[in-house]
Amino acid sequence: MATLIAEGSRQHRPDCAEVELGTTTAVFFYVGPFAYPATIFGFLFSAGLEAENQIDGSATPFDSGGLVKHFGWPAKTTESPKTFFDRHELPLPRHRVYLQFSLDHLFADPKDYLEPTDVELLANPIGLSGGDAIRRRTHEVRIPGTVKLRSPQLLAVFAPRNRVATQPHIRELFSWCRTNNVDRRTFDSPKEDTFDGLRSACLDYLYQRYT
Amino acid sequence: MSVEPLDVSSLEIIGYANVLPQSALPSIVAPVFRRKDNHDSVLVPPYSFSNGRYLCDATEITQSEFESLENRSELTKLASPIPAQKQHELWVDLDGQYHYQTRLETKRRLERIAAIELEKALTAFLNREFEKSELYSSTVLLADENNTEALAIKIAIAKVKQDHSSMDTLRDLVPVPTLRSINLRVDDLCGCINDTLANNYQKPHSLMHMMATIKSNPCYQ
Repeated sequence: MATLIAEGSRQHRPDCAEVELGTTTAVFFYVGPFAYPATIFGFLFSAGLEAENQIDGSATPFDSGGLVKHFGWPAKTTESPKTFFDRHELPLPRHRVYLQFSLDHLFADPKDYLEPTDVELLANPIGLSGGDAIRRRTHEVRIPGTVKLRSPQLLAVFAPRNRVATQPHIRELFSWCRTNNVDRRTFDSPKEDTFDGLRSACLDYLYQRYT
Repeated sequence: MSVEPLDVSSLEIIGYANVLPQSALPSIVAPVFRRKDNHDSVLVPPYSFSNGRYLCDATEITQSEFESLENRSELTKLASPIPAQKQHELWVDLDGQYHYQTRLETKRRLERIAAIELEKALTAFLNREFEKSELYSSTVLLADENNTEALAIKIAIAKVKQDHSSMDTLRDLVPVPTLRSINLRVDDLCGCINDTLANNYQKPHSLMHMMATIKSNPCYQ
């Protein structure tokens, strides 16, 4: 377990969102708690990762994958998802200026940005509607190619407790993190709701560390 | 898109949102649902349940997207749909067969698997078959993640192998209040190994004798 690999290295259907938006070579990150897709492992990186990739990387103030099938916007009938995407693409790490502006002006409480609830925004300057509210408002960062996992930018790893105990490569990663002072968080293995443990562990960590 | 809460009785299960290798079994899995009255409405995680009866915040995809995800090995399709029921769980056994049972039945089945595999893990450990013991202990922890005896065996294996890195990482998984008793148990297990070696040319202890000796120690009650 050494790198995060762009989805483009896998088979894609021609009509999938990444193909339509031209992002198949990217590794995707959320600037916020884990939101999508359903997974049980998580890696939290520092913002320094963006600074290292400001030439090739980019961001959008929403989950770009939602544009193709899930989100709506006023001009959707006349504007393609790709055009809308291009119009809202932001450079790294400058998208954080917009993020700061959003936290100051779009949310009644800046912490609402992190919460897994459908909060009412004070304004909707981008104009997205429909789909998942968290994916609509969470900034997405894309870095082309591969991202080294065991790097100084890795702040924390999250995994179900029994996977660390039973999967040698996960345990080995946790051991590496232990040696390199990377935080480790474990949680009960998921039952029918696969995602809650990971999201809760991440939120607890963020609040504990940054508030 | 995210859908309104749905009564599970209006849904059927057509798969689960994972592809599990043998090393990850047994496991409770997250069902992929489909509306009974609209087979092109497939509901995938992340989602939650309200009162164990209403599926909330699921993401809706089409049947063709579901098949695409299956082709990309991101989920597993069931051989035939199962009617969804409240308070039930879908789980996959050691042979890769799926079961859909009440939570209580699932818990009992998994506890039974854990008990059987724990006995195998201990026997293998005492026979110094550490690789086997490690695998059996893993199965125990996948069936019953709070099984401290299986965790103690894993720590003991790391200790015997002088794998301090694994030992420390595994110890991090132990809840603080039980750390002392686990450490004593690990020492005891390692002592059993040494006893077994020392008594190699004497009458060997039977497994049940060994277990009785271990369990009689008040530290583990």
